[in-house]
Amino acid sequence: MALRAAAALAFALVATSSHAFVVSISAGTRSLYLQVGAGTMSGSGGRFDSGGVPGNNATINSVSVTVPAASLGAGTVTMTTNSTVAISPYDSFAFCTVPAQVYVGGFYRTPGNASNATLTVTTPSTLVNGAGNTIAFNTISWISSGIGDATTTIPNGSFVGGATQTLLSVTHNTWFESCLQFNYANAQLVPAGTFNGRVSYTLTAP
Amino acid sequence: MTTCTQLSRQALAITLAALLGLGDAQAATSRVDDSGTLVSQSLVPMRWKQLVPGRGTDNSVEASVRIGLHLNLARWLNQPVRLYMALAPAVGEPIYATWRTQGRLMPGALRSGERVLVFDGLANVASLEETLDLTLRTDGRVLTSQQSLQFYFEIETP
Repeated sequence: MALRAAAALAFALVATSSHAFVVSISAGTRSLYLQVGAGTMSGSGGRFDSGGVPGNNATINSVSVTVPAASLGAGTVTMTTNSTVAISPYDSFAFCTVPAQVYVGGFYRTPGNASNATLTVTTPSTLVNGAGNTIAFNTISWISSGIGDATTTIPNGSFVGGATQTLLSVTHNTWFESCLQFNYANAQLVPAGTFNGRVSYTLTAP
Repeated sequence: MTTCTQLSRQALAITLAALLGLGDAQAATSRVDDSGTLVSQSLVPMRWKQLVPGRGTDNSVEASVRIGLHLNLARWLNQPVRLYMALAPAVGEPIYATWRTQGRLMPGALRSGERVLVFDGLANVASLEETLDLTLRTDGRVLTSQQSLQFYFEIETP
């Protein structure tokens, strides 16, 4: 009985295959891209929307400000960046103002109804100078904008310092971008020196 | 007078329907043996049409594949036939297919669940060979796993 059933099945399969050809297709690939400051795109005139391929870029841009001794503790000062990215890597749209702003953008490409990706930023507790003096990282804030944007994508905020904080939930299959202008609160007297600290942005997909 | 006109229209409609029905009943439809057909790739990876989704988002994925088509028309040799290419219904979003040919069959386009006329004339060869350059497209957000698309051919004789 089992043998008959198997034979009948085999016959049915043969009959089907001779009256249809099958093309098997697979889903589109997942991809994730984050650009903070400088980025790399190969080909197609530097435009992602024209078929350019994003690549790795090891550049770590800086944001800095020099506070004259006479202005110490006198209130917020605007920082500037060495990033020269003023146009959106997506479509070359003039989006950011340099050297005032740092470009932050990217995307999460995925098939299916996946959860959103998450953009986070991690900072140490303090910026440190050569003598070991510190400035709290939470004295640095940012204002988010972008030419032509009616509302901010990455919200305005301040670094919490010593922790990872969530900046944005990135909807899958959409491009996001903002231009961040950083400010130092300059609300305290600090010793002379150059204070450094590194901020790491991370885009994480589920 | 109005009633009479309506009745006449109804009668005409019924007559037309009957004629159309008669035509359908007389056309014989058969599946064509395409067992010699070769697909150039066993698995066709669909690629995002736009690698980077943007403001004017396009979430299509597409891919092309070459088909070496081999149709056994011996049964209908020297008969007038209408040959249709069909794509079985797909799971989820429709799959759109377009194709170019070398001229023995007509180029065209269809979506899953449909059939399209690709030849109308005398079947003058027992074995029809044709190359299809097939392009497939669908919504990449919905295509989450491998799918097997079944293409087949139907022939109608008057």
